[in-house]
Amino acid sequence: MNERNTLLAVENLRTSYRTTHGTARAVDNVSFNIDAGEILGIVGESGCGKTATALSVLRLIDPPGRIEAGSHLWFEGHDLLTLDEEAIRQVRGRRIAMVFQEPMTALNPVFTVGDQVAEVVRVHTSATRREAWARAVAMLDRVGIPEPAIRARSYPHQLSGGLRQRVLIAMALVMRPALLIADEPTTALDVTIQAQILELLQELQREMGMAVMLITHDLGVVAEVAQRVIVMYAGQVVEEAGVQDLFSSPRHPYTRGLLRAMPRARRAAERLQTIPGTVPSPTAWPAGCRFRDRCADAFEPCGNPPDLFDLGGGHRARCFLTQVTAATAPTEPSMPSRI
Amino acid sequence: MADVTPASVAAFADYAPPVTSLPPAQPATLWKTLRRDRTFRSALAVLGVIVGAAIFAPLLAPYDPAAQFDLTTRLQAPSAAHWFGTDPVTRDVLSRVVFGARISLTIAFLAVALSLTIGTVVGAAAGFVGGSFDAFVARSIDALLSIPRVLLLLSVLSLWGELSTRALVVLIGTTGWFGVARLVRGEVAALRQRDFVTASRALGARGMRVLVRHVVPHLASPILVAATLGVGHMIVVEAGLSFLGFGVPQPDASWGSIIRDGREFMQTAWWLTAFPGLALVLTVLAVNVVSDRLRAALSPRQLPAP
Repeated sequence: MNERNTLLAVENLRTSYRTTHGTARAVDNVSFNIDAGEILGIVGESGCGKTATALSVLRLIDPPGRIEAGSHLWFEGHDLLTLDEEAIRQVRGRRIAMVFQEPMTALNPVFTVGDQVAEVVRVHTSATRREAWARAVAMLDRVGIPEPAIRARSYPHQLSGGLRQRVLIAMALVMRPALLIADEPTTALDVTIQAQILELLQELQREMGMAVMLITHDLGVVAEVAQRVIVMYAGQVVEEAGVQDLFSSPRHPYTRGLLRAMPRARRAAERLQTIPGTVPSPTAWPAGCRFRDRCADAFEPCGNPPDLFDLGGGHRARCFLTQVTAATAPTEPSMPSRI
Repeated sequence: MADVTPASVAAFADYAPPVTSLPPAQPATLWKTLRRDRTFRSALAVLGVIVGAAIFAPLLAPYDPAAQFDLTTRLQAPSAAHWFGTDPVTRDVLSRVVFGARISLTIAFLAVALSLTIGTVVGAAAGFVGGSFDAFVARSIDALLSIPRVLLLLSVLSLWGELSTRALVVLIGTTGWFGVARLVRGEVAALRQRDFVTASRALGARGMRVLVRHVVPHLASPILVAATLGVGHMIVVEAGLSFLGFGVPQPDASWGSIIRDGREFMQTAWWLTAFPGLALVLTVLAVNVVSDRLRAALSPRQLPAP
């Protein structure tokens, strides 16, 4: 995999918010890559730093939040964090676009949906009003909105949730970005609509060859569309693996907990398991392993902060147990190395 | 005499509108709601008559408001010839009140326009930029709001003495925007957090575009309500100043100065103060009712389901 074509390299990203209770380190030293054309799933429960990571990539962190010095976001030969305001604005929407979770609130209620898609075109090109409108209608058609020329004149509240989400996707993709960040794109939708939207995203991803950073708390969504997965917990990456690998041999206890908490067709009769306890507060992450208090397998080394150990084959996990098993059973057949 | 109490000042300054509705009222929908509202219609009719009188004053007034007659006709009670009676120098009170509407309303409208403009610009800038600039502006507004309005106006007026009508508008307008600025700042700060604003930024819109396209249209409702409320308030402020003798210069007369002219004769010639007072009260009442009904109609609960 040497010819991996890295599109975005997130390096030691640290984003924190100043609050009255102290500094909340929402994203704490997160590093990962996204290759051109791949779908990377980012999984974790609420408050684990998924959305803060996404907003950081677009530099949309407003005070009292800030991206700490030492963070790097390498994208198309530049560190996004060193770009001036005008340059990052050129990246937003044109090279990196974002789809938000709530189709109800992410559209401006006072403009027609066609207008809002056309606006993105007008922001980034010198297209006339008419040309922008034509592109908007074509894009609405592309995302599967029936009668796009008529629907383009609708106001957001006149459309269903599924159609609104399609409008948001149209807005994000009308400039054909290299990277799409989709933050919980299906969470607010009915299950049947969810499947349609995921299918649409996959289809557009293949067609445009873009990379997708799919943020979700739903492992089912990840299993369906992602090629690689990052599991986040308490502001850190705790496990990173190919999607097959992650589901067949999860190495971090938190990932295993998430998998056990997921309903499966074959185990319908079983009671779902939950992970005991709650996520610690981001203003006071525990020293050592941040999952220790909720982990059934915690042992002495967990008082120290574990590294994100490389387990070969692109599989990494932030857990000392991975080292113990490796030491006691060095011949355990891990995934055949593809390097 | 309508008074310039701190309470009425505070009513304008402290007005906090409901959180912007979703979806916002379309003008057509708004009008449909209001047309059925009898209170609103009556208030609007009263306002229509008064504004009409102000506009067509030269046609409607039976006499020249400054015309003086035979001194035997001074201080006459209301009669067929002089519906509102005459004043100590034989001027026709009805004509004075009708022309007074011009002065009072013009000053109020211009002062509101001025204070809304300044307040909106300052408030929007503070709310949109945020950070320490916002904190500075917000604290400054709080400080300015803590100065009693009448005290501020009187101290300025006592420095300059008699002001022209134009200067009076500027003075009332430039001391009346603090509440508007606070209102707008709050609205803008809340709007800035809305998802569609973030979405628009995420897709590359410049700050100015975000402000003009995604924030300002949502300010229409609160500003509309603040404007109507402000007109009533400004009429009262101007009348108060004129009554105290700091208002429009002679020979122009606003309702406040007409009341002032008649105050010595209150016991013997009630019509000198009663009619301009009535005009003042009716106008402010009508304006406030319109404002109140507008606010109700603009609040989300009043909207028919989409």
